[in-house]
Amino acid sequence: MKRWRLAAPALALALGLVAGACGDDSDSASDTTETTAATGGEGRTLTIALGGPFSGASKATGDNIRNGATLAASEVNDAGGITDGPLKGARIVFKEFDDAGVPANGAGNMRTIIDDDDVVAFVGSGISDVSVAMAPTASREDFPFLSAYASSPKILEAAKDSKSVFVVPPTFPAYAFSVTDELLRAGHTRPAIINGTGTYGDGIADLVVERLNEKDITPVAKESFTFADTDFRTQLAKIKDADPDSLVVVGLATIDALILTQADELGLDVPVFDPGGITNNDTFLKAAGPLAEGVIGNTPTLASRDTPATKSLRDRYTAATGQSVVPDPAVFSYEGVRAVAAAFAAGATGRSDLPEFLHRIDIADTGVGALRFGEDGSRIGGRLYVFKITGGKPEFFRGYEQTGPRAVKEVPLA
Amino acid sequence: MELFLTVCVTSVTLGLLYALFATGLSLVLRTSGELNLAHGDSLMLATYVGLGTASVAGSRALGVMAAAAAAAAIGVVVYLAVYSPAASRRRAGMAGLGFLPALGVALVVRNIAVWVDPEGSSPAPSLFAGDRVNLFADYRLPAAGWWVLAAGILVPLVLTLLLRRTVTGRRIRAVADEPVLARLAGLPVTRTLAAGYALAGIVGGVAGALFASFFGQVFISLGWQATLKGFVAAVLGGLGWVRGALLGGLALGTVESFVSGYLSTRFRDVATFALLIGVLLLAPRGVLGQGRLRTI
Repeated sequence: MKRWRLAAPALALALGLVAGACGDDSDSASDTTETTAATGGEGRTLTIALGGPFSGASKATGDNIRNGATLAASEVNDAGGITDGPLKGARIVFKEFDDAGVPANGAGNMRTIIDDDDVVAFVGSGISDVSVAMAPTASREDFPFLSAYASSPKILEAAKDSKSVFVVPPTFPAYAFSVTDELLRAGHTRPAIINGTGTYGDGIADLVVERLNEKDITPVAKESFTFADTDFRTQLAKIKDADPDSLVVVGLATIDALILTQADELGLDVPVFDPGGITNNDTFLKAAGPLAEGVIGNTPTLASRDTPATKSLRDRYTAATGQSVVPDPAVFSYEGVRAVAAAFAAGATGRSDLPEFLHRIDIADTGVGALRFGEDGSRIGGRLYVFKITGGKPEFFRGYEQTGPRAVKEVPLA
Repeated sequence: MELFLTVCVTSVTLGLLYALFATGLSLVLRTSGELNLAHGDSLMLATYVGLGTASVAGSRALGVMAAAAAAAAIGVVVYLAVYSPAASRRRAGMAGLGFLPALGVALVVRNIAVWVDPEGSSPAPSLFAGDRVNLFADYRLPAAGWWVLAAGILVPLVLTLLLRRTVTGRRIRAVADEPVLARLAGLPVTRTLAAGYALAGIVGGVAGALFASFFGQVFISLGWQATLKGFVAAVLGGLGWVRGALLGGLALGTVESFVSGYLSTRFRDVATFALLIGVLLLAPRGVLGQGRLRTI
């Protein structure tokens, strides 16, 4: 009996070594799916790892990510699964990985996801710091990683040696440059900036400064805060002391509302610009109340867009969730799943060749616009629409299209 | 000059809020020896209760009372259901892990709050009456700011009177100073400690209501912030009954505001914790230190 106790693990180890020796260097984790390719995808499933803050303070973002992804999967599955290619007929299912908005959790999840042979791709992460923590591992293993919502340039920088990391939303430069261009267009020459620290806040704020510097303008003040802060009066007093003619705020919905309230208390009354895509949001509008009037911001979703794809997305999302507006995290996770489905329909057979096919997809209209990726994995053709909050809701007046990793051009509203 | 005055006002308002957070923590720490890591989350959940009550009942005063009552109730329930039994087991050989039940309670309370407010934050109408008042230049301090000042003066006074002049107060102090003797003398130790938790909860509930009213928002993250800032303030001040928390809170608010105002926000936490380390090295029991940690 004692001998068998030792023999069983030894036998398992030996079998494992033999199996390993018989394999090659290709991604063995994708074998399950690639075997499916020979027999077609009918009755098979494609498992996508869905990640995000499904608990904790950013749970609402995670819930939106889940809603968008679920909607895309149900559209694909209700239409009979993947529409073409070797996996025609395969259905999409999810495995959820909660990162609670903590980068270390995301990095740990990434390892688990890659080690799970069933998973063909990752869609998700609602926070840039989390995506930045996950991307290097995905990149090293050539694992298909689609960052939904998080869009810091650092995500792609962390993955520049591979082609497997994609950022679904327009990237930070598109957000920062479009609103900074509006600030310049309005003739402001003495802007001040107040931003949260970290990948998102510093990232966007530095790009705003970069764009201003291109026009020989230097912010008269640049103050920062942490996202746990609630009192910004000291920073705002310093800003007021510098006598700005405009204020760029890079925060989150509730923080932006607090900043506007406290600026009002201090008598700092200047036009406010939001380059972070934050203020087209019920939470902000409700919290800021009348102080939201006049804020200029941007968002990838245009309320008046009425293409068939947009109407379909909006109607189906409303039917599924009861919400009248499709929030940004939901839009991008929806698009991420649609991108994976399109890549499989185009001929991908598993996780190992999925990145190659993701680079080739060209969806004319996902509901918010065209979806295709550039060489570096950033979205090409993604749009941002600039608005001014008027009468308690955003009034859109200009569109911008991302034409490269660090380039935008003005486009008509459509 | 306007910047200097703004920094001074922020030092006092923030400092007094921190002092109120610290008072509850300090009270429990001195009474039972427990570092109640759930204090902040309890007062955060109680603030939601207060705001909900005010909204339903249409009465601000009821809202504040509900916040105080809810925080007191959470404190008592948690003490009787978790901390007290855990302390008995700890005495039986699990010393050194005293903070774990508190951490668990904090997580449970926080998750209940996430269920209450899935967005993680909500606008909070002021639970304290009044309008903004012009202080200097264009600075108009919200009404809740004046209430923070009032509470910063009144709460320590009332607490001091309560602890010195009432039977329950004297029992709390007796149990805190000599728990074994108090038990041998026949004092109802469990009930007295529960009263300590209730008192800490009441102060916490009022602090939460003031915080939400002052900022016009209530956040789930307020829970951890209140615990962290309150703990730092309590340690700085020295775990006294009231004076230590008050001094520590004001010191913390002042350091944070002046470093943010005249250096950079990025150095704020470094300065705060450098001060904390300095105080602990020079005066391990805090500036007005008189407390002692029995079981952490």
